[in-house]
Amino acid sequence: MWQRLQRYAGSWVLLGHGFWAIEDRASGRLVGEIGLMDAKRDIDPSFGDDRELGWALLPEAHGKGYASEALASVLAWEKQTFDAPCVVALIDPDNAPSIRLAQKFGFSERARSVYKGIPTIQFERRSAR
Amino acid sequence: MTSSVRPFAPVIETDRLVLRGARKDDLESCHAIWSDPEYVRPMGGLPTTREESWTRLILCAGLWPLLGYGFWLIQERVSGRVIGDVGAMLREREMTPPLGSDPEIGWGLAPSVQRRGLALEAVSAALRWLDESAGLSRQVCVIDPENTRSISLAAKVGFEEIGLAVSGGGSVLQFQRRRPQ
Repeated sequence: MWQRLQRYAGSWVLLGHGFWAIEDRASGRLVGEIGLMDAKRDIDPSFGDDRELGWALLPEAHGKGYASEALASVLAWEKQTFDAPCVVALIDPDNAPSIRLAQKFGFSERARSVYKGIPTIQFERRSAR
Repeated sequence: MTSSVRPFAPVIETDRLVLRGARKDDLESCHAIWSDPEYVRPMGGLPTTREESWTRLILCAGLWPLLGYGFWLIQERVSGRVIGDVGAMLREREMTPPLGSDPEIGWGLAPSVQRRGLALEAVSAALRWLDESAGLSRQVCVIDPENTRSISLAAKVGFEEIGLAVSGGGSVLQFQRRRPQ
């Protein structure tokens, strides 16, 4: 677990972007995480220079629109901070709620890959210009 | 902890070296070292892939904002070349007997620059800073029993042997060091 926190902090220091913890404002409880990363994944096709968005919520926080709220804020932050032409996301083909969420925010499928032995879908979101 | 948490590694200069924090453009030079089979052999690890080297570089930077200490990259003063890394980390290593929760000191130099006393210079400088500024009363380290050069370096900087332990199916030597009073 230390390694993970360390990786998150290191990403902010080294790259100026990284992950946030998501807290429920009402309860103050930690319910998930979201962020922008550059993992230089050994994946085919490669992400190139595109940064990657990732998010995950605890089951208890599902179905409340929290992921949507968090994703909207992070995309706005990315636009303000980097305004990259494209961001990507890796989503499990069986994760229908995440795929729907990504599509709602303008992500579309760009490739199917196998990463570390696990099938995954590469989504991309091109910035509106 | 007597120190306040600092987000970045301080720059430390020695006669022949500069210890400094990792930067994103250090990837290629670090990857060249960490992916070298000759480099990892005495540590009992595996050469890193480029992706793993990148994660490791991020980990080098990532402990500082959390704990106020972490890893430095070692740069040769004359050439400006990155030749290794040194520092303190928290690793939840599975080991029998367990080593406790004190920070673990680690170091590694590119094979091409070994046997010149550079590791001793780097580890001494890092420990001096950690003793003075990080408030760590006890540090540990773990060395392969056959890695005689690292064992002798550890003794020179004040580590004492605790004994053999089993880690990941192999045996390792555990050491500890207390901050000089």
